[in-house]
Amino acid sequence: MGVVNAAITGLFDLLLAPFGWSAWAGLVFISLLTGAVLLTVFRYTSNQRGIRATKDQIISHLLEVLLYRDDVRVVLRAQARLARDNLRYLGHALVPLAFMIVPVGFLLVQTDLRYGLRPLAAGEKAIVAVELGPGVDLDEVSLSASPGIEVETLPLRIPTLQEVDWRVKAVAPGKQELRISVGGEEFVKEIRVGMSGGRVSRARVSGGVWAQFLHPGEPPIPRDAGAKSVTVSYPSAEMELLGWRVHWVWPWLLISMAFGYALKGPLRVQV
Amino acid sequence: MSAKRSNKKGRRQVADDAPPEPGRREALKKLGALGALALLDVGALTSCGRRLSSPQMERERKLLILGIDGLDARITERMMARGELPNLRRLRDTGGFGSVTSTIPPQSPAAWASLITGRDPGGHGIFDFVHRDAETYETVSSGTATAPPKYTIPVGQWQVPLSGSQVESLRHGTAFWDRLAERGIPCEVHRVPANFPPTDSGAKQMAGLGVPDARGTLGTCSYYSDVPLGPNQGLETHSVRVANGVVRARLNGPRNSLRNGWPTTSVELGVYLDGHSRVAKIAVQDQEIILRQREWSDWVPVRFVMVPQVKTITGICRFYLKEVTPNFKLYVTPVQFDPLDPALPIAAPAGFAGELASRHGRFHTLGLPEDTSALGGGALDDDEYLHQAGLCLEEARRIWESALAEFDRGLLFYYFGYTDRNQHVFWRASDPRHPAFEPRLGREYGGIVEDCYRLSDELAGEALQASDDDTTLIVVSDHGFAPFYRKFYLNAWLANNGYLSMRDVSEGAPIATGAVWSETLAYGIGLNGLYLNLAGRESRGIVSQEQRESLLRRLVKDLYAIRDPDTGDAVFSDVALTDEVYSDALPALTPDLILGYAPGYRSGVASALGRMTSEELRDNTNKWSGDHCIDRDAVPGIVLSNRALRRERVSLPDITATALAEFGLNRPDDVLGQSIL
Repeated sequence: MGVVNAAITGLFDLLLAPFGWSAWAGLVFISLLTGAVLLTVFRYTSNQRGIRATKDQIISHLLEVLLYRDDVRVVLRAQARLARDNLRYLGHALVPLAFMIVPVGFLLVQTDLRYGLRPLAAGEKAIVAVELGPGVDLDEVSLSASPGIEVETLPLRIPTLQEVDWRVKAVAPGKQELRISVGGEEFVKEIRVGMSGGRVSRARVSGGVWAQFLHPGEPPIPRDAGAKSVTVSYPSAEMELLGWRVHWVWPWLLISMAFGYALKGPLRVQV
Repeated sequence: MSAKRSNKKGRRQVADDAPPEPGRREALKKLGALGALALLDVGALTSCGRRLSSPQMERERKLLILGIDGLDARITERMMARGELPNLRRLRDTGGFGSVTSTIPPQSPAAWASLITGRDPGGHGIFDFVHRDAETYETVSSGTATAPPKYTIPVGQWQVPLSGSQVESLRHGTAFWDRLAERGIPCEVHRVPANFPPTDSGAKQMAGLGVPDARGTLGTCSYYSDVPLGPNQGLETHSVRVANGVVRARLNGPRNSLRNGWPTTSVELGVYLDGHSRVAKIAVQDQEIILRQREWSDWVPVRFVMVPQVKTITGICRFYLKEVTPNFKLYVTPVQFDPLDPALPIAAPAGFAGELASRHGRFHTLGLPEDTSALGGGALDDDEYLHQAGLCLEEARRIWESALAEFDRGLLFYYFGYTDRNQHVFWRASDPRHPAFEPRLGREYGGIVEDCYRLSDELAGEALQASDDDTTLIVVSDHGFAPFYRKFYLNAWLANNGYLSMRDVSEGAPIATGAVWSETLAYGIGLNGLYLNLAGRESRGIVSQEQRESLLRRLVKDLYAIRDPDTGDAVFSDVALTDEVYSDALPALTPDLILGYAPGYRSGVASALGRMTSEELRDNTNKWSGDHCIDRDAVPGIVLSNRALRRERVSLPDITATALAEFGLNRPDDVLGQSIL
């Protein structure tokens, strides 16, 4: 999984490199990409003829309801058929959905890696939490950091959660390092301060495909390091949309839908 | 009594005998109009611009009012005489200095209401922090009334409202900035008491004293410990158990008016402790905060669910990790309305609080933010209280400095209450006569009262720096301060002297339910109010209008005769008949007598809240050790300006008249004061 993550993350880094100057520009590009890719996948994995036929049927039943509204029997029968054809229409979407779910999953995770969180501002505080494997002694864990980060507290050991936490303060902008040592084994977690654009990786995790899929920003923690994960409590990033501060998923949804509708004609896709 | 009467006449003469609006002003107004027609050169206009009036010039004038609660005239003068307070001295020497005669009674809500409306308490209807409900004899808030939705539909355990609930200001009279805003004069008003909810007049306003916490109280903090404290007003203690280094508790929020029975909402609080490192992690909703022992958190927003997925109320609070080991002690400030999403109208226009919070970060919104209850109840010690109050001051100063920097015309009125609260609770450290004084206190905290004056001087310096030649600056306090050595329990005295008949004489028994009203002539509610049990006004009144006059005379005589058995001193130096001292009266609301305690005495809180005590007089060993809710002549406030003052004795309604006159507005009939400039 680590190799797949590295490849996909590298690809997204490459694609988004020209848009580092603006989160909106990057998100619009990802939305365009989403609309175009998903339409293409839909076109080649769905029953285009079946969809067209079903849509025609639905329109004809709607006309039936309108034209024969004085005839209760006809209207009821048309409505039943409407319901049936709607289900059939949804059925046509199931196969392409199965094909789309994997790329969409990677796309969402990669987008969230870039627009879901914002780096710490200088002076801002965050919690670093190290979750340890079973049986690891909580007293054997220590944390040090590069000069741009100040570790403000002594370790907070929580035996019930098998976790050790610290509060850190961002001091200088840049890509900083947290060095975690568990029983003499040391590994690093990146922490970003005051940099706009780029990836903000909340957690570095060990083993487990699902955990690695969700946290592709950094390579997995070595298995023998004794830690399951290291997380930094970055603040959520928000984007301004018509005066509202919203999570990136809402503009992404709206813009990719808009691109989807705009491109379905040129790409000759029945949806 | 006779001395009081002549005194009161003198007080009223201040308003009656003041010079009429000068004809010179009218003449200059005409000149101003000519100036607008460009018939005068700009230099000439500027030189006499303060007295000119035209709509354009009204809008271009600048009036900066720095309201500082509780600055005492005598302490200020004493410090200035020592060569301290350079900015206040500069104002005195280049402009004017006067002594402020406060309201009867000299309580902040009443005094600031007079300062902003130009009315006395009889006119604006605020006599105390609390009034009494004439129907039930219970205490009620004097400043605001909250009405639940008029119509609701019961659906299971829910009450679906068909209309919104209402918060209504009980203050009568118009704030002077509302009159200015109506004329298009830009106004910005911060934290001035007796202004909640603020009216939507066009003036930018952030409400102050009077704004409740999210629970609807004047401020109820929470204290979690495995060594709980005793009960105390304004302090909710939670006895908790530390199990495997984890504490589970709940933080209470507002009552849920959308559910039957109005249950209290709450959120879960998880605290993870490391006794070795002396740090703890507090988990509340989706937020986690790590604190070291004796460390404060920033503001933490907390959402209280009224209807799941439909309605939440957001509050903010700060956590203070007092102790991790050997005992667990966690203090949480009163949960206050979030300025970014306030559930009540704490600002006008509605978005003003959010605008301030977006620029300066979240800030306290509670009217009385300095948590003197936590200090009094032992949840915070002196240093911890000072830190908490300092955090509030920092926030207020941040917004003050920004408002000063942006102030370019119209009115800016900024209020600071830190000075009042710190004098209340640290008087004991600077007065060796005080029963709570200790030499150690004197050494460590003896300078805090005077520090309040030094802080005020700094603020005045900042205001002076922001003032140009076209700015009129007024620094004003609502009252002064005096020691509070002894507590007097009015209801106990009334009961012992046959005025109040109690069925239940146990300590703390409420008079509302414990009194025999069919045999009761008078009762006390509030720090200075005495009410007759008047037939036709009180629901179970027995005193007729014919008996009223003679009963009041007897009460006044008896009250003046009260002597402290320990010292032989009189407890009261002024007993005011409200019929005589107020220009107007709201008959259903106004107490019959306002008791002016002699310096050193004040009402005990139990009596003020309508409760019975066994003793009439008691030493005050509390931290709340200085006060001003006494005879107003014993607690003069101050006024300073960068312009010469017309007189040295100033009443609070004079400030209203001055503010209106500065912008060329005529004094309305309901404004008692006269311009002092």
